[in-house]
Amino acid sequence: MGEGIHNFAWVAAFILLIIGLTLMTVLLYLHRQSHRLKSVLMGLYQLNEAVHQDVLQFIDQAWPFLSQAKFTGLNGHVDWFGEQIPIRHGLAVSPSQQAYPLKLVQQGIEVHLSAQMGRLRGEDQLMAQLVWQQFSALLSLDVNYKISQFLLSQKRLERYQLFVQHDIKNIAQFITLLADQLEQAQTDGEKLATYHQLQSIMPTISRRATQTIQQMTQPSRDKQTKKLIDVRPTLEKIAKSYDVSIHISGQAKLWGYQWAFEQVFQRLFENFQHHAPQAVVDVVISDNHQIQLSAPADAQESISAARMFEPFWTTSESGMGLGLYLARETLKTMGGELHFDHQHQQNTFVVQFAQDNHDE
Amino acid sequence: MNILIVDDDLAIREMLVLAVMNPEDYIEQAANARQAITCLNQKPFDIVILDMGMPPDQHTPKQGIDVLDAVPTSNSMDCKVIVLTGQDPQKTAYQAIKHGAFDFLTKPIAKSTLLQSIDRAKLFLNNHLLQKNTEGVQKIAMDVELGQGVKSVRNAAEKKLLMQVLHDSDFNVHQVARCLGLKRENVYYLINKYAIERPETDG
Repeated sequence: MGEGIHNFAWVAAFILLIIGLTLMTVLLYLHRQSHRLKSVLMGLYQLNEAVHQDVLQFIDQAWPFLSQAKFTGLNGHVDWFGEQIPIRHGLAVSPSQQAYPLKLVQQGIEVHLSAQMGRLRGEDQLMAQLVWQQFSALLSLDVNYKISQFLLSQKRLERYQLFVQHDIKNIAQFITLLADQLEQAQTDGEKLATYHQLQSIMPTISRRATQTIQQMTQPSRDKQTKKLIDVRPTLEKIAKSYDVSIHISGQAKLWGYQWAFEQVFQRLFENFQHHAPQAVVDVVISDNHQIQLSAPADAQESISAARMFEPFWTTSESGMGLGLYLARETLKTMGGELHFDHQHQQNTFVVQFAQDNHDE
Repeated sequence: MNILIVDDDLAIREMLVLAVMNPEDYIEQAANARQAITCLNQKPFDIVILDMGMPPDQHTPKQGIDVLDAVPTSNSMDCKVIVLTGQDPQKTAYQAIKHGAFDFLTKPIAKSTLLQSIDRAKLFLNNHLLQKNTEGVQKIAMDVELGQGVKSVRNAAEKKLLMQVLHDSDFNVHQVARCLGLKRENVYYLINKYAIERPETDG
């Protein structure tokens, strides 16, 4: 009897060992499969990041990952803004293969793809399906991103054209009326009256023309030289050109590029013109190369300080959303900084210029 | 004639003044909608030359529309508004006419075109005045929503006519009563009914 129990124990131990080994093998296999799946999915995700969500590059470089998931071919075509681009990876389409189609259609982009694989079963099939889902989802996101970028650029361009057109039409209007006036001025009295009128008008239109050109071109910095800028009269002149009322205190002279200085404050005064047209802007010029511009905030206007300097972001129909961004970037080139503060119902721009050895 | 020129651009405003200058006319300028509305309330202008796109909305006709909407209740309710615009003419023209503009010109306009439009406006104004003085006929214009019955139309016409006559008589209730063939009490009743206030003027 003792021997029987002893034999039974050995058999039981052996069976348990087999079961244990089997379980370990299965676990190892599943672990390896899940690791393989994770590697392929992460690979697709990282590839998408590496190509910066570019649709065509993603499709082109995704094949190695798809083949790891046991796909045998990826075929189809992409209609890319009127251009047909064929896609051929792996084996050609075959009726004996299992097909996974994908169709994406969005303004100007059409993607027609089909991935093939052999008759897979079990976890291989599941893995392939998961990989294909990930690929399709990333591709769909990329297409949407491309279209939104395209539409945004189009909108920005239209807006830019609108702004330039407005200024150019005003200049054209001035020239038309001037030409008519000069043609009809016959007597010496009429000519003299026209001349005196032009004397007061021409500086304004000249400034307008210069601003319009500045919006369209970038001045060559090589040709610019630094000079001593008298801050107070310069700010008064800019504020007047934008029809912004100011109360100014303090004075200073700064060494820098006149065009850059004027551009920064043109954009700031333009911002006040759009968002606080009736307000009197309080301008404080400090000795430490700092200029503060403050105006009461509209109670209804919610200020998103974090987005103030974001390019192409604006709450005003009259703005392109570039003014403050460009002002800040321009100041950076001069070693300066621009900050915005909204407290106690006051909007304040703080312009800090860098110290220059030539400054007074 | 009293002419008001409204444009945010100083250079264009001055050129427009030069273009329309006439010894018989008095010309005033406004640089924005707020100033224009103040001028319209202070003085009875006959013609307004109005730029539709002004700051802070220079790329939309909003500022111009605000001025057009202010005209019927101002001291210049009889004025003819000539609208100037450079942006999206078709859409702006529709909105301008809808809000009561007399004429619509697209920039850049020639001096001759502007003067022709002003002459047309003067012609209309003089004929309206002639009709009122010789035939006792007052022209009123109003927008009517169809399908809402006629009672609201009657009230709108009544209010419009009352406001017009009050304006012409400088808010002289006795004169208004005589002009409309009503008793003074009826005129006071109508003023209260439509909450008509006397516009503020200078002096």
